[in-house]
Amino acid sequence: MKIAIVSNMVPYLYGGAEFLEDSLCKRLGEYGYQSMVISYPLKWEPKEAILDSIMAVKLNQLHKADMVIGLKFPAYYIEHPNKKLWLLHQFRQAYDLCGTEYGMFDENNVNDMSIRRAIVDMDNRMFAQLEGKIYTISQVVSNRLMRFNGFSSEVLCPPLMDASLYSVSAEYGDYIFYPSRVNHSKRQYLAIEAMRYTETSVKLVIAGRGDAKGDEDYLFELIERYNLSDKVTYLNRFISEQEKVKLFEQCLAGIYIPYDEDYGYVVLEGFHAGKAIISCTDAGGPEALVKDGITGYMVESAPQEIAKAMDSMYLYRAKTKEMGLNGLPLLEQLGITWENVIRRLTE
Amino acid sequence: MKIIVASTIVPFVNGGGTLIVDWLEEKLKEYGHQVQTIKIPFEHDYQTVMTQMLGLRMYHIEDAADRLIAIRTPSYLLQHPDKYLWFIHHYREMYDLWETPYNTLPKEDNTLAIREYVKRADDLAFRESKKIYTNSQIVSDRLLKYNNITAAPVYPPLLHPEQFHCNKYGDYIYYSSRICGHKRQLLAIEAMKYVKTGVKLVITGSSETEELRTQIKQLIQHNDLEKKVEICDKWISEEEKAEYFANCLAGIYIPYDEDSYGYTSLEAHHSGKAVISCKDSGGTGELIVDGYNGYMVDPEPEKLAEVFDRLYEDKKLAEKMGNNGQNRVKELEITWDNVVRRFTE
Repeated sequence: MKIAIVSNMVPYLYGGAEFLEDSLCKRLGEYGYQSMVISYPLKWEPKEAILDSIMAVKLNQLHKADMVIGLKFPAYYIEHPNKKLWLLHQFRQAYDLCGTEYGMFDENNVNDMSIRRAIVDMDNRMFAQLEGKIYTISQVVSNRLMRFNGFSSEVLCPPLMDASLYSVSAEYGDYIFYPSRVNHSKRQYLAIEAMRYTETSVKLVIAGRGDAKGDEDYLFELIERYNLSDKVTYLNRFISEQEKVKLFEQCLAGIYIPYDEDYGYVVLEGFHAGKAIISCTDAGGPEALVKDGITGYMVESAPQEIAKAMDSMYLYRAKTKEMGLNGLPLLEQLGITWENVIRRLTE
Repeated sequence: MKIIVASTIVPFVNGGGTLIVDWLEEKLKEYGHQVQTIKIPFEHDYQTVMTQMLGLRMYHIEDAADRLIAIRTPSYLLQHPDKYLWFIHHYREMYDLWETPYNTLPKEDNTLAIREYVKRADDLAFRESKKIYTNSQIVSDRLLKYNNITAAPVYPPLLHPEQFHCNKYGDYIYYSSRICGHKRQLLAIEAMKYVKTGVKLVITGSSETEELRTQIKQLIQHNDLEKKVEICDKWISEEEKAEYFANCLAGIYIPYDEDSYGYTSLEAHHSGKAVISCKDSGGTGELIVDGYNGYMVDPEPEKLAEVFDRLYEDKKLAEKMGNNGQNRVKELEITWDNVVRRFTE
């Protein structure tokens, strides 16, 4: 069976979503399917470009595939008689982010609102055709889909692709590790600010390229402003998987504190390295994995609170270790395995 | 430089058109450029070709990179202020194949209108382009004939020419290619009926059909050519292929009317070997100068046998022509240095 995984692409951007696409493609191959990823360019500035991007996909043709798995807007609009969705997320600007500081549509602007409405309409029409064939990558995404569009879906949490790279580490260094793309909504700045309030010698290592150069500059500026260069290291470049694995294996614990993200590979990676994770109550997806006091700490998204969690990791090492080791059993318990994902998507 | 390399693909089919895209991406990166590849599905289904083409106009990548290099038709419809083309072929059913038996499109008003649309869309994209290169003189000629565009060829090199080397000038002519009808391996075998020396023929590559496999077997059996012809009917590794080339007397590539000179011809030259081809083979004529770095002969078994024998009897000549092959590759600038320079200047 020929399976096309369809997703969007923003040129030069390779993050968790792109990694998931490639992972799914490779795994489908291992299970005997002929699979490939098709990525359709998406642009949202000016806003009208969104409508063009939708149209472009709708005019494309994928008849050579026996089945299509749609992951992202607007790629999932591709016309195909045998389509399933495994939603990474919808176009969040039109939904939950609308009206927040992360939004792009002005609720008092007629033009903005009509573009937003077009997106919601298109989504609703497609979802109506695909009832029973909609999966999401997290409860957060399923909840949003129900809340904003009124459609039910099943959660299929994506497992880690190259879990074999990781091994539960016996090493526990003195730093908290935050690997991720760097941008405003990943809130690396919050982790840096937390370092102003720590009372122990705990350190912070951030790794990842900024979506824009400004994102990187901002972090460096904060480190300088608060005189944190002894405590905070920012590696502003793409780090290889091997490098990331090493940094995870030697860290004290991981941290992943984005604003309302759908999921969080970083948490899985930490667990596979035997490390506990600090996350925030408003981080979204991590909530299903980071159980407060069991696999890490769930705190409010305030620098002082995060600082306390960091200090606790440093001070109570036995507990930190224990929480780190609880991660993997939790993943098994939740059925986060590729076998499960592929069976559901192809049955 | 930030470069987007764009092409169209036929999903689930791997062809030469995707190799050139992947290789260009790899090389541009090697030369220090930031590259993003965009591959959009495109099916040459004439009934939906217009809407598919329209779709290509609607992506917005105009400020995502400093330059767009578009490759397979009609990816060049993507809009970008600094657009370069490496034009490898037309939608051939709508152009040079239109009047030939290879064209299966119905000759109705509807199709004529679609054909006109395709041509106008192409013309528009060509006007928008800052620079257009092709991959061969044949394609350049077609571009001039049908679209009145003058474009120089930039010949596609091998990804890893350094893996080929010369060990000796052995006793066999080597044909490395997919085994299929229009590549005419049968003609090469026929030629072996007429050789007068101890020259041998080695053919490697997997047969496209069972029928052809049987035909080849029978041809060899009926003419008692078992000792002279060796067939290795399977996919072989790059290393095995390089070894065959390293020890052969010369290469042979005699397809019927191909656009390109064939990567296999380059492989022979990079192994210090001459290439034997036919006058009706198409693109090989751009690489091979008869008597200099190989032979361009009539597509007749006797004529092929003659040059097989000539090279076998005069290995100095085989060596000289093989070395000329390496010079010819330089002369035509079939190097990544050249490709990268042209597309980034």
